Amino acid sequence: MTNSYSMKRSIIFTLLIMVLLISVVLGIGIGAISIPPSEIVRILLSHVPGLQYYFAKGWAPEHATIVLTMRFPRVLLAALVGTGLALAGTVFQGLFRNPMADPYVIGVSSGAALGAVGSILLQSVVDIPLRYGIPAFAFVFAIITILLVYNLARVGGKAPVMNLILAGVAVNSVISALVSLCMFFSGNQLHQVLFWLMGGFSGRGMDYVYIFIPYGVVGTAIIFVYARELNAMLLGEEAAEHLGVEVERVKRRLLIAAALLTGACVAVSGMIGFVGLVIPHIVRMIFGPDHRTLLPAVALVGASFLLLADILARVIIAPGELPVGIVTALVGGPFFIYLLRRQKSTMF
Amino acid sequence: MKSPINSNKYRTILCLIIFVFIFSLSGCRTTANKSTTNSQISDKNGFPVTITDDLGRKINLPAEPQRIVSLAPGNTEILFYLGLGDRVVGVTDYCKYPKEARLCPSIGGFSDPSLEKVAALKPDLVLATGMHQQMLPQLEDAGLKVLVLNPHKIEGIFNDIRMVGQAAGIESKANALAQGLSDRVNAVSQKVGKIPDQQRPKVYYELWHEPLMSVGRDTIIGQIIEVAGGPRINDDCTEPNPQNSEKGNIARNPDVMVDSYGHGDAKAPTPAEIAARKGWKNTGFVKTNRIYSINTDLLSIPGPRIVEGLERMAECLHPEIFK
Repeated sequence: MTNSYSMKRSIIFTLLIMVLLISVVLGIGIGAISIPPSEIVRILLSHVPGLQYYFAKGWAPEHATIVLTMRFPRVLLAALVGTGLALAGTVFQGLFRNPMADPYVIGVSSGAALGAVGSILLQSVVDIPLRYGIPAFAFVFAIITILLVYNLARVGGKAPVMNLILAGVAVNSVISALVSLCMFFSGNQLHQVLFWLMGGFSGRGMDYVYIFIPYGVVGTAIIFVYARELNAMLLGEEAAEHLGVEVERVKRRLLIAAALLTGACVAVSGMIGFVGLVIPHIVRMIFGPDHRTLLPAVALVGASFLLLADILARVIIAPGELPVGIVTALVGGPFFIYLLRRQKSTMF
Repeated sequence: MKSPINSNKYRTILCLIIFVFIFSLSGCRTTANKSTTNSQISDKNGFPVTITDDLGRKINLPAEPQRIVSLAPGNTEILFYLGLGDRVVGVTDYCKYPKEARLCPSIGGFSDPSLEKVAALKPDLVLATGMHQQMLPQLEDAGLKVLVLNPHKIEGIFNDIRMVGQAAGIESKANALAQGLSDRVNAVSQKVGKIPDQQRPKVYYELWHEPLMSVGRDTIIGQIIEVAGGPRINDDCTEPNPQNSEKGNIARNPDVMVDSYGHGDAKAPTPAEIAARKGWKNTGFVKTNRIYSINTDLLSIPGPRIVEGLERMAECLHPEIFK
């Protein structure tokens, strides 16, 4: 029984990795300039250490430039952000024992956005390089928001589903007003703020990947370290306490980790909703609630999902581009409504 | 489940990781400036040359650029004005002037050009604007030489003309052309200088009608109106595109109204419609029927045609002198 389960699990994991690889290849293959797939593969492989001698440079140099400095960073960033948002969503859902928790729904993304916009505006006062300022501010504001929402929603020791969503909506609306206020006073920086708020991965080079990585790695590491504690928390905070989990400390760290990830995602790609809602759900349906397998699976599926959404966003109105947030919202919005309906029938 | 002792160990490890990553990795960036060393001997046109653009960036051009991509209509107009049209290999969808520019391959929109298309054209010089700041790192990573043109004043446009000329190896021609434009501006301001203050009309400039929008002091259009000899009714305003209240406009009783709607713009209000606006019939410019329209391209595109826009403006404000 255990054997066949682990067999099944490894098969599914292999499949997930293959889906991710296919998404990556598609993501790098599609663009305004058509480059033959074999050429793309050769360009990429020639940059793998140790392999460069086996691939003669039989391609146009501008094609290599496009693949390496434009498409590859974009695909990498989309995969990283997909992973980050999905993991943050998993943590929020696990910690709050709440299927509707997601960085976007409970307002953490908007909080991060406010921080990021604030740091852009601060540029006219103090000269902090944006690549430090935006993620740091996004992170701090994400933490403030999550604490605010959670404490608003908490009744006794718990944050019931509806309370959390209502608190999220309330905090979200205040934050959106503040973001609009910032835009009103942004003057010459309005264009910069708008470019950033529009979000997506268009025009993002390797510099954005480097902005993301430190926050992403730290956040992900913390989350994976506490996978077992997350499992215990599913039983309720009291039960987890009895199992030897230092609930408050673990919760604090996991919230910081999720805020790190959310802040980093928002800092590099603006507001992209529903990835953190949909992905953990679907993956939990397949793998069950054990976070030790759930987390890596969520990471893989999150990456593939956002990659495919970004490809769709590029293809639908080609040569133009849709903001990828629209695509994820069109997929995730109905899913959210479905969850809300189901929740309602069991709650009331 | 882990014991608290284990947790403490993790805490130390995590703190370490956080410190190491946030303070080291965050700072690293691709060192893309593969700038060629300046040891080459200059050729007869002065190349290699280092140019400082409007953002203060220093760009080293190893040889005279032969394939130039323009990311904005103003840049395209400057290139063609300098006679560099045959070196332009890519323009935006909005580059409609001069007519020859329309024949160049498109690289997409103005605010959202396709960087892939730019790279595929293998340009040895890209002319961007302040709007493209976020794309600069990626263009630089792609090894492209990018000059940013970001003029805030009429003189800034002339400086950009000289800068592009220097970058293209036609410095003296560009200086002469810029001087010619500058002389035309001086001619206008000399004539205007003789007009006593009380004869200068108060100007209401309308950028858009729904909502009513005007321009502030520190814009190129604001400067054009000033040089053309008309104090604007909102001279105190420093915002680039302020929204005006209808009452405020009427209360200040402007003598002249100038708008610059695009030609063929279906929504552009006619002078009759403007005169018929509620409460406007007693304002100075409606009573004297001094409502003028100037081709928006002459005022809003930061290129050589801005001087035409200035001359048109002067004609509108002081027809007795400039006709």
